[in-house]
Amino acid sequence: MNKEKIFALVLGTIVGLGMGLFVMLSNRQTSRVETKDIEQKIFNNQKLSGTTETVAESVDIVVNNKNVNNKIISQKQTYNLKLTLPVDGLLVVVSNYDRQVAFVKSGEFDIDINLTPAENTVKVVLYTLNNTFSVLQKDLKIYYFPEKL
Amino acid sequence: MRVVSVILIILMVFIFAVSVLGQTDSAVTDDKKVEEIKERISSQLNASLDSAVDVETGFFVRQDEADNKFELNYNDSKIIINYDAELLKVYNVSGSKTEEIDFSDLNEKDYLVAFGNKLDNEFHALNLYRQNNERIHNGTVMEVRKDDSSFLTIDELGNQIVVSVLRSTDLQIISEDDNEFRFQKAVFSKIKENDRVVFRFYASDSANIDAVSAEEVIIVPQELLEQLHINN
Repeated sequence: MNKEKIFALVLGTIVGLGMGLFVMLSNRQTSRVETKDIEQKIFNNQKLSGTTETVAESVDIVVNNKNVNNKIISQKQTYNLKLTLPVDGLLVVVSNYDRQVAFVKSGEFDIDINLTPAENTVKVVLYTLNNTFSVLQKDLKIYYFPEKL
Repeated sequence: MRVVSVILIILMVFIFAVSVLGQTDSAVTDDKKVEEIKERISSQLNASLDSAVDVETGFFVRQDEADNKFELNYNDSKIIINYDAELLKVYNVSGSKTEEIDFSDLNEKDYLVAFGNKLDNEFHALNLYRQNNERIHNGTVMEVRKDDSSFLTIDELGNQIVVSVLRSTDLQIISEDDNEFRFQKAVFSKIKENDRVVFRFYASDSANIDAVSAEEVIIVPQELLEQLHINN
């Protein structure tokens, strides 16, 4: 192989790699923009399809699970209830088939509730530790439907 | 001739490098897109499966069975439930036990939970569950009446309810041991004025109540709350 051919190979490789990298980077940029669009669309769809209570500036117990008028349908026997609690306190959760108690700090908290078939009436009570021991509470209905329609 | 072959080699290597790098990257991008689309379809499918099941509840009002319809009443609202006698499954729920029963076993004012679909504002039930209409309230004990094993409660809105404790009532008290909170079996004498209570009972209709027989009472002692207040 003479000098010119080696020079041609090296130059071709350098220019080719450079162009390849450019193509790769510009593809990634496009894909990132597309992913962002898809995420935005999914987020918008979620906002439309499910009613989730607003967390901002709440002084009440907030249920973060998807629910309509505090009605939840579950196809599993154990339901993971996700709550946001505005203050520290003693949390008591009572349902037809389960009862739980815990001392909780303000912020996000989740709890597994055992369900019976059909309607489960759930009461969430937070005894706050202020001077009057005021009570925050939430009533929920969780419907456990073990079959598929 | 030499110049032409040098240019040809440069072009070939350039095209090779661009196509290899470009293809590898577009393959990765395509895989990512396929995964994203799969995830999107799966989440939308789950959402539509969830929304496919709808639920209606209320007290049973029998209608002409030839119409394959009946009524559920709750809080003065009525809903007509359509069903197919061949497809409808009816269950009785007692605690965690479920037993299949016949539609003819249902009685007027039974509390029913109907799972099905809503099509064109008409509800079509496929599964019916008969169970007790459970309600759970909470309040502060204002007065303990030892003579008839009952106590008077008041809630945050000022509603007063007399709660009767029967032999069958499951009485539980919350206690603390080493920062662990737990329920303990209790007796009626453990209930004191100013204690907080959560009580579960069956309501035979949707009307407001002022006296109930409790299925379960959970006592949150005032001293426990005071202790927590001091410690925190």
